[in-house]
Amino acid sequence: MIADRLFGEPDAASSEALDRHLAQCEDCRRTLAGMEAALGVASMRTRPEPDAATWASFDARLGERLRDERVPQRTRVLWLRARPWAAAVAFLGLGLVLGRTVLAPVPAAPDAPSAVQTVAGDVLERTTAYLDRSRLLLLDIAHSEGGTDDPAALDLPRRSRIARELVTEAADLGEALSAADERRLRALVADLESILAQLAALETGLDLPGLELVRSEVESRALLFRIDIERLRAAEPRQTRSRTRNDA
Amino acid sequence: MTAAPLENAEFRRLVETHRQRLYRLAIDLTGDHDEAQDLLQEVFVRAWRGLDAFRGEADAATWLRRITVNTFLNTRRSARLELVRLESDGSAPEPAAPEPARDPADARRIQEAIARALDGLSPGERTAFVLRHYQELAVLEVARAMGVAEGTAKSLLFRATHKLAGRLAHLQTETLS
Repeated sequence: MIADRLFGEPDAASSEALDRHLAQCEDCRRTLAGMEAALGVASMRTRPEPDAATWASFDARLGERLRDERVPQRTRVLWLRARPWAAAVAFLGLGLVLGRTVLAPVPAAPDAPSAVQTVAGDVLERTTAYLDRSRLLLLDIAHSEGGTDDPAALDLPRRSRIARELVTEAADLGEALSAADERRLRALVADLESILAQLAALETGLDLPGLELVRSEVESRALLFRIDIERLRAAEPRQTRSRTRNDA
Repeated sequence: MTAAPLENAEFRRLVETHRQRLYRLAIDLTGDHDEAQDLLQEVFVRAWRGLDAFRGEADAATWLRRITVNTFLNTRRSARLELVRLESDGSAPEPAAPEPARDPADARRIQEAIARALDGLSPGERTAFVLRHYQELAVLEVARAMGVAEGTAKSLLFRATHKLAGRLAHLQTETLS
């Protein structure tokens, strides 16, 4: 209710309820007064305004950065529409590539894995274990009670500690995955690393907004789904996996 | 032969119409002129890449604001990642303790105190506060720009203002009385 009062969107009923509470609660009166005063001080902030020379230099730098950029997507599609033969050649080429990769017969499995395969296998095992641990932590976060008033029930310090360990592990794992040319797994571990770093850096108290941001990020990047897909792939025979590992 | 992005009339108009307003948002978020310019460069590069997706939308200002907020938060996440790595190595720098403004009547010191107080907020808190207090968006618009629920935006605003009250308390009585 204090937030509604401060940020200008209270309804009449909650405003009256807040006034009744404030009449009896010295702590809340002091908190509200302190926050209103802080907003007053914060309003005294000034900003520099760039002059024409600054914008000219900005434009020059932007032009330089954009020099090698391609034209936006729709323009390319329109170009293909304008030249049907170009579209036909593009689709024919795509068909050839797909035919040679996806539809090619799977070679017979060798009797013993090569040294390269053994190293790659070790990295994949470590990654699977890493994904399992990350998945458990993210599921725990996703299913925790966002509205709880009990900091102990959330146990953020424990979760932050686990997240910190996983962030440290992700750095080593990322390098190993790059060396093994596992680009999709590398991208997933990098995304996890970013989320886990946020979790590790949550304040030790009841940082519910911080936790909500982490949840929203887990959802928007479809992390749990992507982990499940990779766990399924990990169960595939290695030959199939090597053909599909960097698709997408 | 296709024209360079800044020779594209539509994109050029987009940059010239919105850069001043976006610069204000960028400097509110970053607190630093050079960093604000870097952020703005990145925003316009992303805008160029996504120009096609935007063409169907009505409100360029909302679209660009959302790119700015996302780019800022992503940059801060990367920075935070580095900090967590440093802490894991045991080599994290100690955060600088806020210095009280010794002379509250000194405008420069007041500006520095406000800047330090804003720097003490988390990226999410700062973004919510800047969008509501300096960019004057409604709470629902703040939530939309950040891609969070309205309740989360309110919580971030409350926490931000509460922290600022603690950090600016030494200025409040003398400056505002």
